[in-house]
Amino acid sequence: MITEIVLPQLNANEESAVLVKCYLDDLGVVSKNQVVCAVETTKSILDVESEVGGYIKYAYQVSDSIKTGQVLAWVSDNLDELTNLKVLVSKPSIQATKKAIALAAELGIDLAKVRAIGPIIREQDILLYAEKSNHQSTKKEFISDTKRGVVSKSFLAEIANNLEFKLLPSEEKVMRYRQAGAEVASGVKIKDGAVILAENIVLDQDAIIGCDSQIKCQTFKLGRMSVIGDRANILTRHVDIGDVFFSGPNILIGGGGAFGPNAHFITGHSCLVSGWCLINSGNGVILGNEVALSPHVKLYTHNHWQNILEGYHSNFGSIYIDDGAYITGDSIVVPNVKIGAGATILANATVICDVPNGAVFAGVPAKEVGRVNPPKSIEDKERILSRMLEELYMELDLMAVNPNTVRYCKSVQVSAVSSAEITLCFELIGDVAELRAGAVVFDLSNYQIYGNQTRLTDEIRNFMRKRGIRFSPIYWRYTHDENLYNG
Amino acid sequence: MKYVESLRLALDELLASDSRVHLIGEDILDPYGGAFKVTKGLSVKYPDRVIGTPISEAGLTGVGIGLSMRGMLPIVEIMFGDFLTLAADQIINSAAKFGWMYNNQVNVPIVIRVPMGGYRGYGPTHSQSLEAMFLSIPNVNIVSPSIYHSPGKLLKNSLRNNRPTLFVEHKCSYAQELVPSTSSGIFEIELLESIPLFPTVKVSLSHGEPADITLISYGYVSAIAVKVAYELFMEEEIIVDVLIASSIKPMPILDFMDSIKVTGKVLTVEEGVVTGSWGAELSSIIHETCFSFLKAPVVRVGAKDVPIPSSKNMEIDVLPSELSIKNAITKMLS
Repeated sequence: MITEIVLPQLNANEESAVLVKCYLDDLGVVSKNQVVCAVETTKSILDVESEVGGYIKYAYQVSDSIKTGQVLAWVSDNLDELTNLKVLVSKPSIQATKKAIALAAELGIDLAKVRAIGPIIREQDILLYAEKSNHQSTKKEFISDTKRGVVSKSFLAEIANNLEFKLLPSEEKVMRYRQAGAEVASGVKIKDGAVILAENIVLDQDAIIGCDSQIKCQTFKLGRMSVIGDRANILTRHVDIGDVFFSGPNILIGGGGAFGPNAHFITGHSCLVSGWCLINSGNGVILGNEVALSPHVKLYTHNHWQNILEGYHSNFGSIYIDDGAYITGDSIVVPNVKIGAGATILANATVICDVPNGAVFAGVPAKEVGRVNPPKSIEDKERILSRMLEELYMELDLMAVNPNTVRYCKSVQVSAVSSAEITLCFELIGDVAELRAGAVVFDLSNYQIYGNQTRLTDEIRNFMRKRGIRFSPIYWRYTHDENLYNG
Repeated sequence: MKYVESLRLALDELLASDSRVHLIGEDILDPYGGAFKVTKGLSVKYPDRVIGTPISEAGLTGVGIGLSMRGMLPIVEIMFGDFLTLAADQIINSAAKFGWMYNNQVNVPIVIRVPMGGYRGYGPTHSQSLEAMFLSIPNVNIVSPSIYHSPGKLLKNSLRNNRPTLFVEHKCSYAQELVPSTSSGIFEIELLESIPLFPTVKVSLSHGEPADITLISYGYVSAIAVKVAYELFMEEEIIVDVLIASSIKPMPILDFMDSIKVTGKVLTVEEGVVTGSWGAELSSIIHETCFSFLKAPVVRVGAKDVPIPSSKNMEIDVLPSELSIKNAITKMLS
């Protein structure tokens, strides 16, 4: 026969108590009037006894909160009876905000699995959970999966530690890589002393590998017009660099765990990794589009040295830096950190927690010190632009270009654009296909350039780039060959 | 423990521990035990020092002031706070002034307990919150407990304060359960003690996140404010820091500053009429001391500028409600 042990009313004002200790093992033996557990009220800790002897099964675990009158444990002289006892212990209901419930339903997430930062589950907790579970479940696709640019093993063996090969002219090296099976598009340069040792190699149009760069990977993919600076050391399992990437000299991608199963470095388009950056790719580093790292930035995806069994701490995890984020000089980012879109990390910061979109973080450890405050109206943008144009006209003047050839117009008809001028506008009305020959429009509403590009438009584009205004088409190199100059 | 029990226990302990303590008021004797039963049982226990009086607020307050000048510690009950007006002359021209007028040869450590507030349908002359009228009287302290405070402790501290104190209770609070500051619910409860005898309670769901708005309140409406804070969090994920003052005068501005620095937006919520209110005074002080942190002007929620109707449906339209607080917050954040 099963006897219930019920939490008694401990005093007049308390409706619940917390289980702090179970004195016996589950399904262990209990004798009559033996103390079975201790419960804590706001006033004191009290022991609860069993009125009968037999085997005991607890209904709660330590630190559970139990309401007065609920069953704490069952006691029976028949062990089978207890093991077969199927009881639905009412779990405390999960509290979540309306937004969180809606989002969880949308993403198909079970709220019971989400761990909230506070006592109530918020939208943010769901997003974090979704991101973490996504991260674990989706395997990234690399060029090895699609068998692109498979390089012959014998070629790799031949060029490894081969000083003569490294010093071959670029054209020769490109040819040899193509013959060995690598996908190397036109315009690619592999400068003096540079070598790529990888099982799969894809180098897109006009990509450049700087002097003396050593690249050793399982897969290596470099996007169109992307530049790896001089003396780069890229030593990690998977590298997938997007289009129009630019890196300064002496960057290091790799470090601890560089050839681990999850080691990778992935970027979107138009990213900048300045000189002397250290990217520890052991547990994966992903940069979105238009992410910039200033010189000497360090991204670590692992830290360990001391014995965790002795109470020390170790941390492994990826780093994700979202579109348009900017990490300025000498900052450090630790594992398991996500930096939101458009966030700014001020120099010398150490980022140890996630950074929300558009936030400005500074200090050690980095804390929020501000938010980007975007201009609300076209009029606000015009005010900013008008100051910028004054500077542009001064620069054009120095270049002996008549400033009148650059014109700002808030809104302009395609048919009204003159071919003698370069037009900046916030609104372009009409079909751009009908633009007159020789006419150029910088559309600031969608950051698009229409028309033929010349040395002068490149200069304007470069001027804008220095103020963070990047235009599409993204395929554009701001360092000119002198012979392009036609003005 | 209930609000009324906390007060009764404190009165009992005060009477037991100090023979100078006297309770004076209308109908406070057993078996009736006071209109709101705060003094129930005490006249039987301390028959010499729990004194029932005729209906004369001026008279019984004057007796209290006289006792206090002679070294006693009187606690006077005005049955309904609305009739504090009848005792106003005694408080303003006697209690508040005697220390100065007689070169500190006398003290007036009198506590005047005044049950205020509406939400009960008692009509225009039994529902008001008139404490703000005394904000401009120098040397009068105003204290008001909430269910987040220990009303009994605040009452004892008021008596220790050695000056005339209006102790503003609320009719609707008496039957409410107190919320212990150690309660491990979903709210973080923190005591802010820039005025040690009369702490401010901070009730928040922020749990480390920066809050969106600072709501400053006191008394019964603070519980309504906390309910609104919970609903706004559950519905919109808006984080409201609710700061519940117990010292109405002087204002514990230092207790509010930390939260204001984070949010830059302040809403004051009180039951009295907005014009010339506690919120108005507090708003001025905030603008004077925290202007650089403010992102928006301080907004006040309180009763409308009309007498309080007897009809409960109309009364809720005049007094601050969940809806009016919620609307004010959403408007400030939009």
